Amino acid sequence: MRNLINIFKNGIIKENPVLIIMIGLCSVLAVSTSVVNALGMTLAFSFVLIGSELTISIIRKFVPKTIRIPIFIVVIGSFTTIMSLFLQAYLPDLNKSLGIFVPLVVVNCIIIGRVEAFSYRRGVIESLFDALGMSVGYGIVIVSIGFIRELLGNGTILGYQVFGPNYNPALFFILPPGAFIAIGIEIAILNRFLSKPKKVKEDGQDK
Amino acid sequence: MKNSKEIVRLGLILGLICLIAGFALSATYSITKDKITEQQRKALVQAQKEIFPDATEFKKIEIAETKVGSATLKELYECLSENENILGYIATASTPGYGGNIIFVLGVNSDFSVKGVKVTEQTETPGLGANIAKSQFLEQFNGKTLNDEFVVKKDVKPVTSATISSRSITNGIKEILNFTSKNVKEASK
Repeated sequence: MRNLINIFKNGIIKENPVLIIMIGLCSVLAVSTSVVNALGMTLAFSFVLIGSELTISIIRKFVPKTIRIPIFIVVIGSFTTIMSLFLQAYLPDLNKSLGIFVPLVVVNCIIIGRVEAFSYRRGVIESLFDALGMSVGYGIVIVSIGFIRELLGNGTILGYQVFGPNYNPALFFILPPGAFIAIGIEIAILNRFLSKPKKVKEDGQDK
Repeated sequence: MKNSKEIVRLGLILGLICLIAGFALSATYSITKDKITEQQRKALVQAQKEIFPDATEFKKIEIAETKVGSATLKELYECLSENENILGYIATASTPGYGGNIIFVLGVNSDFSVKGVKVTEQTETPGLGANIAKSQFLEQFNGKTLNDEFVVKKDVKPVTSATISSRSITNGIKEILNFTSKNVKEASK
């Protein structure tokens, strides 16, 4: 049980897919223009990640090493398409606001990265916890960046005016450079708390 | 010999997995297919009602999909009031935008001025180009006629930092308005 909780926690801080491993940045930077979009992207992403990790860890014994990548892609692609169809059918508004980023979940490198690095080698339960932890870790980052960008760039949170009508929004934060700056600040803050003072040898080189 | 056997084995495994995935996809597709067309219908009907709240009937005019300039006219409806007066026309059309086709519904008054525009589907950049679907942007087209220029930054105020999206929807509206009025005038001759 301890082990499972550790796997879950790993995805949030120690191996946070976005801030530490730094993969899947494209979707984080592109979709975090508002909190609603970020939440929607997190849902879509989690569905595909959990589905793919579970499926791969179930069939991992039948998957020969040489053709594992094409099989991963087939599985991930299928889950993405299934999710996209369900979004169109039951949540058309969310589907509209996510637009092009729904099909792009398929090329999100976090998913193929976790499938390859984790669930191809581990059991079903462990994979489930890894997928959950990674989803939460991804969600926290994208939603917090969405929060910063929507607040500063548009003066709203979830569509509600925060600063009053006279606030002149810093459009810069909605534009791509704002995303890079916001994510840079988050990475810097996290590194500040995670880094321990390095021991320096007498000859001045890092150990 | 051994090598070719191995290739066959790998091919079979890959084929089997693709087969299963294919079945899962076709099952999902058939479950959601009706619901998706229903949602698209609903969006269209809602857009029609919002543009012509007084109309009681939307009669489809049989017309083949036509390419008009860069835009494509998909469907044309005649909007009738309770006593069968023609209030105007509704066209559904698509125009190429920055990130894919923009599908929109254009309402035309019987004097061929713009009654209203709604964007029903688009894949423009979220937060930027996607704002062309907002009513603050689309309302400025209301009342425009073919005598207007339809030029972005002249008589059309674009969405901030999304000139391409703004320009393509503006052109689309102009082309479809032009086509609709020509077509209807000819038909009534």
